Amino acid sequence: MIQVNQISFSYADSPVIRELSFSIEAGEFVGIIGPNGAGKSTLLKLLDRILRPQHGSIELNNKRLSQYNRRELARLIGFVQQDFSSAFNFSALDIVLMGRFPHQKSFSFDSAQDLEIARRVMILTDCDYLRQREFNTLSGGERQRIVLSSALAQEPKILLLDEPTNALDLKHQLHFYEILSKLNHERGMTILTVTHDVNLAAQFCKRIIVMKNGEILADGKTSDVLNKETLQGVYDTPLEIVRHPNSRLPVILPELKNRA
Amino acid sequence: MQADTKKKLYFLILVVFFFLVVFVTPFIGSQSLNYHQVVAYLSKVQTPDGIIFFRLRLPRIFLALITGASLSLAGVVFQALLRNPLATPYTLGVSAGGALGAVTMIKLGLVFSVLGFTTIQLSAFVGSLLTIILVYFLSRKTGRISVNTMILAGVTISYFFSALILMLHFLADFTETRQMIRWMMGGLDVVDMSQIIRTTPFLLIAFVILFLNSRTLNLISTSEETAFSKGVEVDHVRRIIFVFSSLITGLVVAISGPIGFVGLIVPHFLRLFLGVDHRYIIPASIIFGGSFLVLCDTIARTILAPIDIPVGIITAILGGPFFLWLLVKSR
Repeated sequence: MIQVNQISFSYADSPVIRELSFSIEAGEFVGIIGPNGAGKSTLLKLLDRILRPQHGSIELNNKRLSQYNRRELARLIGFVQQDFSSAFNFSALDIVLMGRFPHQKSFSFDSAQDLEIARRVMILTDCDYLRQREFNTLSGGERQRIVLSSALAQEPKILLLDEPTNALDLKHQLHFYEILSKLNHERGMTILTVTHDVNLAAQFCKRIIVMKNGEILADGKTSDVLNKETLQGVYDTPLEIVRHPNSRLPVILPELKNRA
Repeated sequence: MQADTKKKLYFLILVVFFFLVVFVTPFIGSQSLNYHQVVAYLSKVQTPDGIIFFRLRLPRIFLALITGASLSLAGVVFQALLRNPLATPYTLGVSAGGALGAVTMIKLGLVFSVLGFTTIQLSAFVGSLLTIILVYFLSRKTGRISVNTMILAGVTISYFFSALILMLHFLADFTETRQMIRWMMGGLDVVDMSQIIRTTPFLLIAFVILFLNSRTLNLISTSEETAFSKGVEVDHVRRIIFVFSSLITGLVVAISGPIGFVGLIVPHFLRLFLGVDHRYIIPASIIFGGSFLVLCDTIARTILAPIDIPVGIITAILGGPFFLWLLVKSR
């Protein structure tokens, strides 16, 4: 579905992505992990053509990304950005309805169908009760579900998420990933999520891509990639991997030094 | 939807207010007019009341309408484009550029008419446009516009031009200085109907284009990346919006001078009850911005009649306290 060939990208003179190649099949649930500055967020922006690679190419459904117009792209890819906020006080429903933009004429009011789709995605992400609230007054967890709903209102085939659970507490983190898991299982939605929470990735993602310094260090099935050697190398931190007593999935624990 | 019905009701009130203002204010003034005398003018009888009504008051009210509408709309658009609720039509230096153009021409003393416009107006218009072009190119980085650089460039250029204007003031004699200061206060008193007729089509085209982009502005006003990922060709759309909102600001500044506060308070006032959706705010700012300035101008020409106070002073006196109230209220 997505084919990335030898892409490179740099901001001014500092290279962020170096000759990266990989491919994503339809229906995959991929976690992208790696230390700060690895180029993870930049990679997502390249995949949604918010940025364009200086070298190499990205293909989506066997067509180069640069040949799509923005509306076509928005109907295929939904992007949940990091720290979405608005200078103006839109209601939660307004934000969700913005996701209908690629399906509407440039100028129009929202049709009954738009409203129905907004209602459905908000029920799916469990935030329908927030529709009339002002977006800027919502809690972190509520906001993320609204932003996700807005991306889903685009009816995309692929969902890109940039550290979506960063500001969320434990319960909301799990809740958010359960929604993603449901979208992946029930609708076959392809999901790529950047995360710092290796344990959440371990629980939900089927495939993990490990990045460092703009390159891919490891890429494969979650249980194969999340091993002690790889992770210690990536994060420069001694750590231990144990198995979850019930699910048998890997759990990553940092090794604490010099504890009094 | 209940919220939508409410918005439509408010909108209707604005429309009624608009017509009320347009039909009532021409009859208000230092000289009270007789309705029958005014109507008689229509059947080619040169009544004095008719002349005051049709030759003096109506053109002035029409100028106030298009000026108020343009400044309010430009305020809305710049606030969305720059993602900054404190932006005004003048944030990017349009008025400073216009003022520098006007003041330079006054100092040079080359005051005559070209195509129905005075050289001062033309020079102000050229000054506005050159400033906007300068700001645009200063904030271009690798083909893309940085909004923060744009605001910084606009503000810096405004200060720089103010210094140049002060220097010209210093070099000017008393008559020139008075003329310069009077220009900078903004006013709707020197009106030639042909100027209005020549600029209005451009303004109307710009109004329509900006209105058609209101949904896009909603997206751009949240964040650039959101707009991109939801299907907006941000760079292209932003250029169009930028060009037309600068154009209308430049035009009205050239004709009426830099009338302050309208572009700041009208958008904020309307958002209080219409919300932030540009599909409502843009037409509302055109309708209410126009009628608001007509009202301010009616106050300006009657409160100390027969003295005609520059309308910019009235908008500032009304606008300042209103904005402070808004600030305290939203805290």
